Amino acid sequence: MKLTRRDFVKSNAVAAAAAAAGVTLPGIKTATAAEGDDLRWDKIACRFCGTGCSVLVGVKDGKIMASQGEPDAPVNKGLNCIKGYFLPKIMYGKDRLTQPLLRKKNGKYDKNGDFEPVSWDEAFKTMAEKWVAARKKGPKGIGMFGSGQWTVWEGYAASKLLKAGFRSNSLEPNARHCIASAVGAFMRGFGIDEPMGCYDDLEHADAFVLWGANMAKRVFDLVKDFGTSKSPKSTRPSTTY
Amino acid sequence: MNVCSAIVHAKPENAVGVSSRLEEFPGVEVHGGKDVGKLIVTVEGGEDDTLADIMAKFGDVEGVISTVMIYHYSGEEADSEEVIQ
Repeated sequence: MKLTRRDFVKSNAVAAAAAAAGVTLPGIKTATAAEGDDLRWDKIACRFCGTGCSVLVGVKDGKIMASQGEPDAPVNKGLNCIKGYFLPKIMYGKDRLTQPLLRKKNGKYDKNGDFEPVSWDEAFKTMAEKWVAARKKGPKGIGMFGSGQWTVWEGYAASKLLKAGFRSNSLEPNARHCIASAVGAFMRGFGIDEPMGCYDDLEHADAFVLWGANMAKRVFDLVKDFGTSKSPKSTRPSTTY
Repeated sequence: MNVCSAIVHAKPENAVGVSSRLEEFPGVEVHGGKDVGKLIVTVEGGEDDTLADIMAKFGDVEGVISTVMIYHYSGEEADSEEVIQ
């Protein structure tokens, strides 16, 4: 049997979709999805939204060639969304930052200068100088702004570094601005903090009441049986954006 | 070579009609799943954002409930190369 590379890639694509949907197709062996290709498959987390999908990426010669929803991930169970299409592509965007840049005028650091490529040595040296100078103003001279996407251990290390190391309380995550307002609203509206449920609750629900949101358009990887045979009474959600 | 697969949800009773409407898009093929309302669809051809644009348009096709992407391959090698004989 002659099989071109296109046939081969296509049959892998079909097998992956059939496996994720739980659909049996004649002539398609779902086990062949990642078998026999020359890609090395690694697991990554999609960072395009807060759902938390796991994605498999197929790498060849150091470059991502293919992506697929991770079938074993409890969150997305092999599904991906249109944003996942761009996961490999953003790796190779021409506007990516690949080296340190420093604002300079006449070859020297200047806050009002233009960004110029510098060596890592120069970048770290400049950062250290500025940090030491700011530290001389006392604990409030320095601060760290972190992320809700820090791991627990990264948050712990940052907290120890700033509070125990530099004796400064100037430590904030974006999480305080983001979730604190949501928690306030949840406490006020429902009398209880979020999150009030988990993804599995969606699987067990009989009805969804939505306003200002369209689940089928936005978090469809979580509601994969939405509107199909599992919930025959549902209608196509109205478009709300 | 740019190949994508997706699951397109539709009510089983609408699935045949939805399939033919989807296949009117260039490079779109429906491989099965009509009986359970989960259409196994491939989209191929085009470069850059074309496939994503086509999948985004599925949402406006009559009878389509939702579209989830599953697999995407984007390689520069010749697609006619024989891999198995």
